[in-house]
Amino acid sequence: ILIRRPALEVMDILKRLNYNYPLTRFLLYGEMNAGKKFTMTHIMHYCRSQNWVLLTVPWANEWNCKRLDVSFNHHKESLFDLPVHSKILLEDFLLKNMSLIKEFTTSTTYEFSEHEASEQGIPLTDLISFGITRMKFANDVVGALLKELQILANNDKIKLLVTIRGINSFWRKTGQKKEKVQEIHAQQLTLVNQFMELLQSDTKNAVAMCSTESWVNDVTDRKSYLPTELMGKEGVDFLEPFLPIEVPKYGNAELQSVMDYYIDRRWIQAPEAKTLDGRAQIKFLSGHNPYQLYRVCVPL
Amino acid sequence: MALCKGKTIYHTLLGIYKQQISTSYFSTNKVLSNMYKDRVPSVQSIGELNALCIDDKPVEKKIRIPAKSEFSSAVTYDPIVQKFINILMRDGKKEKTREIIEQVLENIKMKQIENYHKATTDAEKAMVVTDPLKVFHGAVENCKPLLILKTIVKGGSGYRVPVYCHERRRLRVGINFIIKTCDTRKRKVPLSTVLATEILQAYNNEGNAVGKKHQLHKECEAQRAFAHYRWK
Repeated sequence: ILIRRPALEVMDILKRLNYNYPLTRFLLYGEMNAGKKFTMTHIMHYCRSQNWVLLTVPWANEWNCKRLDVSFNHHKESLFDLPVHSKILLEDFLLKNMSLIKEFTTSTTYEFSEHEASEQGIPLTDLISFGITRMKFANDVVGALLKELQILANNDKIKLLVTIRGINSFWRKTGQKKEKVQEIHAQQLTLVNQFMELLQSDTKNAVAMCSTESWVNDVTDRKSYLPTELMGKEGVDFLEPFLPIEVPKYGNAELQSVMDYYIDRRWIQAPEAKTLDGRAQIKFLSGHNPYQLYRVCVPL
Repeated sequence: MALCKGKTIYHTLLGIYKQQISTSYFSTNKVLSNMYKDRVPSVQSIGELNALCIDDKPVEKKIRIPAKSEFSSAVTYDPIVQKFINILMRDGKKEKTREIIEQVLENIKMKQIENYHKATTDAEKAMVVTDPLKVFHGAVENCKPLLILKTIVKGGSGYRVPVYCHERRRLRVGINFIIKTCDTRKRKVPLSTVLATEILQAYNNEGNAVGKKHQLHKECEAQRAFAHYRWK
């Protein structure tokens, strides 16, 4: 049995929550390669088996680093749009939640520009496919989607799970470029502002899970792993009443069971490594780190 | 006279015993050579040894060379893999070559595990070898030649003569065959993938590296008329 302890704690809390209160926020933190992504996938799988709607942002630093098109926003002048990134988000959302959103319809009209607008009463899938085909308005469609989901959750129709991986990239400088603009900060993107509004709203039946990662920083700056150092003062003030959960490294019993699993699956092959002496050497070389255990056993 | 002779013999024997405890080059498990394997020495420590010969005559001592930093007694150490790394290395960049060969072993392991799970019957499953080190050793063994051509000058002109050679030389020639078939200039694929396919083919006696060995053997047969030039 290979489930780790922080995942079981969160699942236990989710069973006993009172869903009439507004959003609860979890924060996963831990050292590099300790297994935060792994526990997140466990919790997502559990929520899917209970028929929740999943909104996932697999890696939030992509909005900062990957250089695709940047455009100006129509409604507000100081913000920047990312059409291609929001298109990827919408396609992902459609794939995951196709069977659960079939019956719901929009409640109000949304105006994207002077000539184009969506009417009231359209099924939600039409809204999303409109955003995928017309990339120019994809970012506005994302904002409309988030408002619709909030209205649906407040009426006790669906349950929402929002996961963001690498939330400490919201308070950094980006590497995006635009002509005649010198520097773009992460607070000037519309996607970031939309998600920050979601996290501070008062929706019922919703849970948010975030994680701070030290992968976001530069190669020379990756020693700290505590959330106060990574997010800074602004981040901690923004997320103030949250539940911190630590993901520790392996203990002694966990190491032995993982090595048994590797021997069963034929990842460890050398006969010298299967003895007690060999296991003690592997334990010393890996340093109780899950990823380093995997790399040490490669030539064995 | 008899006492003096015995003293010199005693000194030289002690000196030899002190020098000959050294690690051999290609043994992982055996630190002492076979001669000293089952003997229990009567002198248990170096201090007692030094106390025996009181007036320390200077015997011819060999200079002790310190061990290289790549030797270790860890589980992940293998001497033939280490030799391969040293020959592949260029410009003294050992970390880069070590990472390449880690990738090679990983690729071999993944392919063989795939073949293991695809095989349906039990008999086929027993035939697939999933240990990457066994595949590596077997491939290097299949690439070693038996004879080598050596140029001997006789009467003003040089002839190529087939000749026996040491185990060390054969290893190096075998490893060179594998490396030179893979390391071409016009290659768009990383070295580790090309090496992995080449080693898997050599384990089954196919491919270009084993073909080079067969070519060498054919040339030795063609030149066998000059084999007596080895001895004057």
